[in-house]
Amino acid sequence: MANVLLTETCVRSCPYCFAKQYMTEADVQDSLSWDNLIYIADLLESSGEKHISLLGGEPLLHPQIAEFVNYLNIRGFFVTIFTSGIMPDEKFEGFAKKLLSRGPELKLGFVCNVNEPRLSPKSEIEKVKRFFSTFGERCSLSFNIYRLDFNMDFLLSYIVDYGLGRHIRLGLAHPIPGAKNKFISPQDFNKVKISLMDAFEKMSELAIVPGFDCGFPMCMFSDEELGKVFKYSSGQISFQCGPAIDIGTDLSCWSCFPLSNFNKKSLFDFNNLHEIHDFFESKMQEVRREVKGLYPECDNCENNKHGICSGGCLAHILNNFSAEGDIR
Amino acid sequence: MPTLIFKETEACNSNCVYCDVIARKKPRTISMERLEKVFVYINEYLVKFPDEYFSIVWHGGEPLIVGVDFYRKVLELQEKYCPETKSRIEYDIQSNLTLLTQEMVDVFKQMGISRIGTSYEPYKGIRGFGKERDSDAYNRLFFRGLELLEKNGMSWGFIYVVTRRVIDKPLEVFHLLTNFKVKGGFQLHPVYSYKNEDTNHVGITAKEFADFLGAIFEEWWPHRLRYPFVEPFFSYLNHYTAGGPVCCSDSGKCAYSHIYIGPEGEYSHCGRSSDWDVFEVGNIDTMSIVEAFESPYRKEIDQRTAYLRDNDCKGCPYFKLCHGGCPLDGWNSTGSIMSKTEWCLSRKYFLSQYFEPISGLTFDDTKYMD
Amino acid sequence: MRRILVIEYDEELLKAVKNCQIVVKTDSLEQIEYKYSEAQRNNSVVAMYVQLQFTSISQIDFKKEWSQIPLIINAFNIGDYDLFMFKVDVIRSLNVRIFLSNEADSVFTDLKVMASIGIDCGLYMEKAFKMNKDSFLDLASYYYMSPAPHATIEPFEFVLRHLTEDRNGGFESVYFENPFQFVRVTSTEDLDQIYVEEHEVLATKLDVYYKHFLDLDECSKCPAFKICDRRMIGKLDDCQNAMNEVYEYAELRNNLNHQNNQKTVCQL
Repeated sequence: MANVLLTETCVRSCPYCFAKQYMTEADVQDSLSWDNLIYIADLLESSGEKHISLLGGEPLLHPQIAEFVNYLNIRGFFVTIFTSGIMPDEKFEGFAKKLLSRGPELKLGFVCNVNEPRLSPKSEIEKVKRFFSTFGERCSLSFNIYRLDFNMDFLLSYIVDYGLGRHIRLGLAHPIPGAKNKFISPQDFNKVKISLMDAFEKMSELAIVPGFDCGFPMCMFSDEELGKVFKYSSGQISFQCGPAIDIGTDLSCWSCFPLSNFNKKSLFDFNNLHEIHDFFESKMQEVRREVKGLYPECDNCENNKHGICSGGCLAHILNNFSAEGDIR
Repeated sequence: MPTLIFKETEACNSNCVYCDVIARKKPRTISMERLEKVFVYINEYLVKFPDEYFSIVWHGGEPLIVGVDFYRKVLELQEKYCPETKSRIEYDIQSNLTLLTQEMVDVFKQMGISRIGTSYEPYKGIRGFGKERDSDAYNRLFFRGLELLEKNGMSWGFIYVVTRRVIDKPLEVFHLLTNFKVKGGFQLHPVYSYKNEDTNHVGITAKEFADFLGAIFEEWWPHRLRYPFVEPFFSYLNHYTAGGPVCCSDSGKCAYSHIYIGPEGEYSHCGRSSDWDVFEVGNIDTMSIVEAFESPYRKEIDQRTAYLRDNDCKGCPYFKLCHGGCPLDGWNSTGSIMSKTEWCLSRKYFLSQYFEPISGLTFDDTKYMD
Repeated sequence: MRRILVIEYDEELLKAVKNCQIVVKTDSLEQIEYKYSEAQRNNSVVAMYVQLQFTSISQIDFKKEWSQIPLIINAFNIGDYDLFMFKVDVIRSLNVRIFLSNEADSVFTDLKVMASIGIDCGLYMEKAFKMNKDSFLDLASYYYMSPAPHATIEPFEFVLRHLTEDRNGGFESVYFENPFQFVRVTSTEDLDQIYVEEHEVLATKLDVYYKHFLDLDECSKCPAFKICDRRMIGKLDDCQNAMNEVYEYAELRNNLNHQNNQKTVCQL
């Protein structure tokens, strides 16, 4: 699967944003063209992919987002849009109408990345709620942890109140090498874990399943806690890290957003998605051969040796190296 | 299968800037009596060698200038003198097509001719009618002749003679010719002039020809599937990859494969050898074709290959590809057929500087029997 | 030689034509089923050629009932993409090729969109309108080199199908303009033309063809002459290099097809 950027501008300014640097350099006019969308769809289709993720910036800002979704559906793709759910009022109705009029033919899901209401402007919260009211059954939630005093109760309320998908994608905010974004230091993962375990208990009572984005090291949980996490997540848990493959509006590609400056390439350099994946996987392995993981203990870790745990996000490692000069 | 180059006439309706024939000889045409003798001798040859075929190539001058009745007569004579052997007689023709008519085509079909060799010159002033070389009028008739061939389902190939006037535009020439005949089907030749008498200053040097070919080869090679039949590239590729056959002038084995009869019944080896008066062989008035094939000069040609291998061509990596080239090209520069071709440099230069580096192929002479 | 008639829809004229192959031109899709059945009454209809040069596809009300009609539509562009997307299923169920005008700004993208979702289409090149060369070549590159299956886009498909033929020809047949195959009929007097002998047609065509070599014009020296046959003069800057590039793409595609033993698709 690949993540395709539709726009390089956003409606929010999240302190943890791992796309911040990328968007800082972008031109506000930069949005994915039809020609580039067709090229990407051809590449994915010929690579045997049936699923495409659209993101940004804020993908809903793209003037032809609905047409893109319909087009991709016609070509046989299931589309997932990673969004804040925030859209200008004058555009929301038209957008909703264009998509929902396709009825059951619409193969679309949303992953809505939401911030805590206490930290968000009221207008944003209203827009997010409006989005849930319209697309609730197609939405699931995503939450990025960037502060130690986080509280996930609001997520459970959203799910229950709006009938959202009973799944929450959890991410740890990672550093962008060379940039200044808010992130959780590995030394604080233990504190995060304590809050997470409390939250998981509440989620399990509501039959809401957590999912981990990449970058969580296995050792932040004790064996007993791992058992609980396994149960809470219905066994769908992984501590491995690999290329996610992000594709920019100009058909550049990179491994994932935290590593967007690390060996960025062009889609034209590859024949299919597998080649792209293999390329970035090999680049990541080059770094991991030098530094096994976040902690010195990773060097001798059996879980790391057997590939069960990747040792946390590569961005932390590269961030440490960035002071040395060019990212290795 | 022996090939008779039959120049039934030296007369020609064209004035080509590089032609030797008209420059040196008053045009003559064979008499009917001599034509009859030719078929008597052909029959004699085929009776003596019951497993052989005999190929007659009508040549000139311009062979069509003699008119359709001449060829009707040929068929009559064949019927009269070769009733049992006519099935082993094959015909070909080299013509400028400007005088071609449907009647002639009908007769050629009866002769079993399905393909005509011709030549084409797109640029003005190099070939045409009259002193001024009216190329437009010439080419209009040439195109009409081509149309007639195509209408009758006959194929054609052509020679393009590279002169000094086009030496600076190889790619333009190449695209013109390949647009004219899709897939190729033409040969690129340098101007051959007797003892380098180049009165019209159209001759080119061996290196110039090699460079001309090289510039085209660079374009041809990546597109060889688009234009497969461009000579000499196609043959070279065939030689290099499959040890394929070489043409007569490079075979080293033309001693007993060719014979020439001219308009006054004079024998020679081939068209150029007669134009240049290289061999004293005899005349059909007093000698049969069987006897002409036994003429002593053929022994000398036959020994040439072995001689050159140990002398002029000793150690040459391309010897098995060309065997010293055409004996007449050797004679043209030294006066002796026991010399290698004067175009040796051209071939070697083209192969080593262009063909091999561009194609990545190297010549493997172990593929060839000697 | 009986050539295919390209005939304006006119019931009186159609009555005068019998046992011919015809392409029927009309400027409306109204009553297209009726027109088709009338045209078919005494003849074999090769195509109903509908001229809607100023109409967007999104404005056309396609009907499933037209599925038996061999349709060629000349439209302007896709128009409203959202409306167009709703029509895709119906369009794909029809036997139709949609040409778009090279005067439309969005034409190259529109054609890619259509072909990528399975709609046979084509570039209709108006006389003397210069196209953006890079966009044209981008479309050619997409057509020949895209790794994903797609529908055909004329004239690129025609060039590919006839690439290895031993002839020069261009692609005028795509637009029913090849004098060997088609003859325009606007009145009953024109009907005599359909019986013109092949050699007369050949003579006319060859006069035009050989004129290049008498004049030694730029086309006669162009490496892409075989696939273009002068059609792109005035339509592209540096048409020679552009069409040579198209030729190279087509050859590459042809070689890949042979390696993969792909079958070509029968076309209208």
